[in-house]
Order: sequence, then structure tokens, then C-alpha cells
Amino acid sequence: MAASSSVSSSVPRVLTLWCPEWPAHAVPSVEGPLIVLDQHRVVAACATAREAGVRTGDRRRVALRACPNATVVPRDYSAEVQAFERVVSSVAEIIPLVELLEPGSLCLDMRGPVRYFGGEDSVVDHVRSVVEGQLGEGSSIGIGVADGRAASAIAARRSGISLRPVIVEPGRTAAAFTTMNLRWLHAIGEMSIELVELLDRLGIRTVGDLAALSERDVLARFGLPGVRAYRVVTGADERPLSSVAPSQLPERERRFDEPILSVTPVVFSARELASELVQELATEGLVCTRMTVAAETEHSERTERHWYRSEGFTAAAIVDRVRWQLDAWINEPSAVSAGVIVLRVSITAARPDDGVQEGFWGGASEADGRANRAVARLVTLCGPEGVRVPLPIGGRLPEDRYGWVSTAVVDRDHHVDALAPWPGSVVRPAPVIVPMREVPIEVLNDRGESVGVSGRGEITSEPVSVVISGRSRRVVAWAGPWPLIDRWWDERRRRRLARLQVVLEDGSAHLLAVEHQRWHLMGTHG
Amino acid sequence: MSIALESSHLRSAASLTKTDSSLPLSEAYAEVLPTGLLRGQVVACQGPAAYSIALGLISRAIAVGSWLAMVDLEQISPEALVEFDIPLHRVVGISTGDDPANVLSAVFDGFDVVIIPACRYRGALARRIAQRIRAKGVTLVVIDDSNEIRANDTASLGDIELVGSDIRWEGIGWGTGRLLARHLTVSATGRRSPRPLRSQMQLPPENGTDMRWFQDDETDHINDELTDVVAESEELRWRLRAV
Repeated sequence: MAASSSVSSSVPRVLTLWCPEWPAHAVPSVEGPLIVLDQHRVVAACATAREAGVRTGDRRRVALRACPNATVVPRDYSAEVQAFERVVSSVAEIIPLVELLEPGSLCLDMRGPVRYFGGEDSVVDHVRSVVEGQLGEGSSIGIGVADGRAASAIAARRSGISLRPVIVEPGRTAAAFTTMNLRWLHAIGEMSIELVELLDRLGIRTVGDLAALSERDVLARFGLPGVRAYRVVTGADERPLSSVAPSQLPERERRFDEPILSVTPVVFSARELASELVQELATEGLVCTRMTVAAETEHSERTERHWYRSEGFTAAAIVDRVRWQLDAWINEPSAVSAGVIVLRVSITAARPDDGVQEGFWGGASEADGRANRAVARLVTLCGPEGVRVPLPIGGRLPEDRYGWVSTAVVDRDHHVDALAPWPGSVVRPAPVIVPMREVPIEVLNDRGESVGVSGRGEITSEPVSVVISGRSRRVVAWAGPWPLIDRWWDERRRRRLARLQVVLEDGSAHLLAVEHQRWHLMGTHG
Repeated sequence: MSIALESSHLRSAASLTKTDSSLPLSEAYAEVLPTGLLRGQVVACQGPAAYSIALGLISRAIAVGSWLAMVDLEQISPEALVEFDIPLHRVVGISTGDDPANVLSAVFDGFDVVIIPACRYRGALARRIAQRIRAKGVTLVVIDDSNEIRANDTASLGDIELVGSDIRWEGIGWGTGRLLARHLTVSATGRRSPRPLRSQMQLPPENGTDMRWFQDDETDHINDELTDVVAESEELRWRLRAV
């Protein structure tokens, strides 16, 4: 911990404001419960739906099963930013340098405000009262103060649940969050879910577990993403050596000869600006983490917002933010009275690109596009059940481990190929052919009698031949039996069986199982 | 998350267009298919290891960006695909239903590699399919695992036929060990190659996650001893109870 406290002195104190369920706030009021979906997953829900058991990340069907009378609406970022705009501007009135993280969440540097208002508690009280002034007394808001952005983001989430501001003393990040599950770091976008799961399997489940390791060991075993997570939990996330002097960072401005009256053409030119900026940074191996978007009208009305994203901005992410900001600005009553003449995007912070960004190889290829169109056409030809994709499910028996699932219910952007370890399953190689329905077989000993497996998992006699679909073949090698009692706690789905591997005279190998004294074919290494 | 810059991955998915005349092939197959895995070609896989030969044949092509359609082959376990290093997110399984001709032509529009069972590649339909894949530049793999000699069908199934023989399983004995690795000889015969080409290979291919150390002879002995000890103590308890 000595190391973390010496670093933390250079890490700025940051306040993060987080409004829980913001996507649901932004929706115009509806009757009954409300669920907001993004890419077929629940991202927010109202309190009634939450009580009914709707969880973030659920699919539409699962969510509606928990809360059948809910209204389901798709996520609308523009509306969210627009609704958040009044919160941002009210905070910006008392503390000018506000950075937007995403709709519903903003952060600010505490150095100036602490001196001005006299103490962190006082800043928190002021922020809280202006936000409550906008959202109404007693609305749920989370305010967290801690070393660095990431730690304060965690503090804010925590405060959003407890509904009390959370202030973490300088250098005490790890101590304050020691019992928190590492999944929180995934929730605030600081850690990939794969790393969280890997650490979980290694027994590193909480922030305290991770902070107790040494940084060198974390780097050696988990690489850059691991160090990133480590720095977050020890309150030193600001990458001390990687910052670039702001004067060297690029800025792009576009002046329009004709004032533009609608958002779309401005966003279109933002696309050009964004790809130029991202490319310029990429040639130096940098990625933008903080930027300022400003626009001005003929009548010198201005909008200026700072945006921050810890994963770094891609060109598309920059364009999105320009659109959200302009949408919110234009729809604000009496904010804009003339056309836009200037759009400016300036990068204010960048860091070396450590490959966290997606789409490094250029995103979707031509082959992907062609296949996706064919899948859409095939669904109309064969029906949704006729077009299936493989999906890892998990289990100990070959038929349980992976499944073929109708493409209509699968989120195709979410790739998980590998399965978590399942102790008790037969290890690699897996059988290539797994019969769709049970194939009864006979396993015979040298006297032509059926071979059995005793209750203690011992084979009664040596298998000499196997009869599969009427064809008898000689056994040349066998191994096992491996007994398995699966789901013993579930009266209806429990299975008690023993497995046997055999190699037959033609070189084919099979996985056989005996269940209730009857043999069946579990898989073939075809 | 270091990015492995393996040379084959540098051929990014976007560069894999239909203009390439062949698809990437893993090194093990280079000897049996010296011309590579050509587009518009029908490769038939036969014998008891037909499925594994087919998966090994196409794995590299799918890994670098092509899409795979498996037609009426739902019995293939996705876990095996993973063991052959085939990324599951570029695999789609299709059941043709009552109208195979129409469905198949839609499949050939969208996928670079298509695997079908031999029962779907017969007679008039087969001729139409062969014509269609040549036009579309699709590689078709036909799996024929039936051991019966096809009556009155002496014509070969594909442009090239791959047959596995001399299958040898490593790691399994008579009541001991477990299946570890399969070594086999794959031989290719085709209209244009008068003499069959042969190559030895291991299917599924070896990789880093192999748990070979897990069950060598030493641990086997320990396991046997352990079970003996348990059995003895069990017996002892019974005797004590009897006393």
C-alpha cells in the first residue's frame, strides 16, 4: 500500500456524478413499468420493474417474463443527452469545467472547487443541491469523490445505491473498496469481462484481492489490461508517464460559409473532422481520451462541452458525441436563434493506444456483410428455427456443453467461444458427432452378455464388441468407466451415469454411456 | 491482451474477397492438396474420420475471415469446431427442410465454405450444386461417413476425395488411459491426380491447451493405488461392522 499512497499524491481528486437508470429518466412518462433496451439487452428500468426482478443485461424475453406489463422502449441517446443537458448546465453554472462521461454521468476536477467552496463536503453539498433542484428533491443521484476518475466512478455507483455521497480519503482507494466485487470495474468500463472472469477463476474476486498483489506480478501475468485494473483499484489510474502536452494535441475547426440550420449536415462534417483527428493521433500511436466539442451560431450563441471516455474515442464515438451535444443544444428552448457557422473539435488529452479499442482490423469485412445478408434471406426461406448458430452453454456431457440456437434470439456481436472449465467432463478431444436423439447400443463381453457398471463405478467385465445400429464391431481399446452424478440436487433433471471410451476395429472411437443399465452412444470421434 | 501478429492474421478479413482463387489451408494439408483449397471445388471426405478431415481442411479459411455454413449437419458438436480452432461466430447451421435446391442457392450466395452430408449431394441436385458453386466461387465439402459401397454410383463424389486410413489412437489402452490424440494418414485421389497423395497428420491438431501431462503413466499408478486404498478401507469398515 506504500506504493499507492506515494503515487496518489499526483493523482487529482475527482468528483463523479452518476444518475442511476438515466436511460429510463429520459423517456417521456409512460403508464406502468418501463424497460429500456439497447442492442436487445436491458440497460435501464424503472423502480417498479426492478422490484419485479428485471436486471441489467437481461434479454427482452427474460425481462418481460419478470415484468409482463412493462412498456419496452429502445434506447435513445440523443434524448438522454438532451434531458441531461439541464443537469450539466446547472452544475456548470457553479463549477465551469465539467466533463461528460456518458448521458447521465459527469465528472469534474476537485482542485479549484475545493478551494472556492472550502472543503470537499461543501462541494458535494453544492453539486447535490443544484442537481436536486433540476431533478426534484429526493431523486436518486450518486456522487462519489476519490483519487482519479475510475475510483470516483466506482464511488459514484456505490453512492447511487446507498443514496449517500461517498467520499474516499486520498490514498485509501483500495481500503475503501476492498470488499467490492471486481465486476464493478467492468460496469464502469475499466476492465473487460474476460479478465474479470479469469481473475474470478483464479480466486481474485474483490478489489482487495487484486490490490494485495504487486504491480510487477500483475503486469507479468495479465499484461497491460491487468495493470490498468490494478492502477484503478490502487487509486493511480492516471497513467503518470503517458500524458502528452496539450499544446501538441490536434484541433480541427470547420467554418461554414452558409449558416447551417439543421443538425445532420453539421454531423456530416463532424465525421470528416473526427476521422482526420483519429488518424492524426493514430500515426503517433495515440488515442484520444478527452475532447472538447464547441459550436457557434451567427448570433454568437455557443455550446461547449468536454467529453471523456477511458477506452478512448474512435471516430464514430466522436461523431456520436457531436450529434448528442448538438441535438440537446438545438432542442433547448431559446438557445439557438440562427444557423451554425463554426464547429470545433479539440483533443485535450491522449494516451498511447494499448490496443483496447475494438475494430483494430477494420471492423466488419465484406465476407461478414455477405454472410449476414445471406442469413437474413435464409431465415425467410427456412424459418427462424432452420438457421442456427453454435453457442457455448456449459455442462459435463457433450450434448450439454454447446448448443445450436436459432439465430433470431442470438446477439451476433457478442462472441464467446471458450467455455469455463467444468470439472468432471471428459477432456479434449471432444467427440465430433453428438447424436441428436438417443442411440441405443449394446456393449458385450466375450460370452456375448451385456457389460455393466456397478454402483461403485467398477466395470463388471471387459467389453469385447459394440453393436451400433445393428452393426457389430470388435473393441481394440477401451478406457473408463468414469461415473458422473449430474444435478443431484434436482429431482427431475438429475442424471447418474458412467462413461466409457472405446476404439473399434475400423479405427473409429466412441464415447459410450450407461444409464439405468442401458447403454447409449454419447458421441463419435468421426 | 497482447495482439498476436501471426502472419496469417495479417491478411485481414477485408482482403479476403471472392477474387482470390484459393482459400488459406493449414500446413498439414499442404502435401495432399498442393494446389491449395480452391474455390469452386468439391472436396469429398470419406471413411471413419471423415468429419475430422473436413474440419481440419477448412479450419484455417474460417479462422482468417471466411464464413462456414453447415447444411443439415446439426449432429456436429460445436465443441469440436472449437478444438479445430474454428471461430464459432462465423459458423451458421442450416436445415434445408423440404426445398433443398432453393435454400442451397441462397447459402452459396453468402458463404465461402459449405459443408453438406453426402445424402444431400446426389443425382440431379448434385449436378446443379456443382454448377452453382463454380459460378459463385464456393468451396463445397461433402462428408460421406457411410461405409457401404455406393450402389451404381461409381462416379466420384467430388473433384478431390480425401480418405483417412491407418487410424492410430494415442493414450488409450485395454482398460487404461484415455483418448489423447489421433494420428492418421490422409490420402487424396482426384480426377487430375493419377497417383494418390498421402500425408500423416494429427486430428484434431495439437495445441497449447492439451492436457497431456494430466494422465501420464505415473499418475495412473497413483490413481490405481488410491482406488485400492479406498476399496480396502471400505472393506475394513464392513468387516468391523460385522464384528
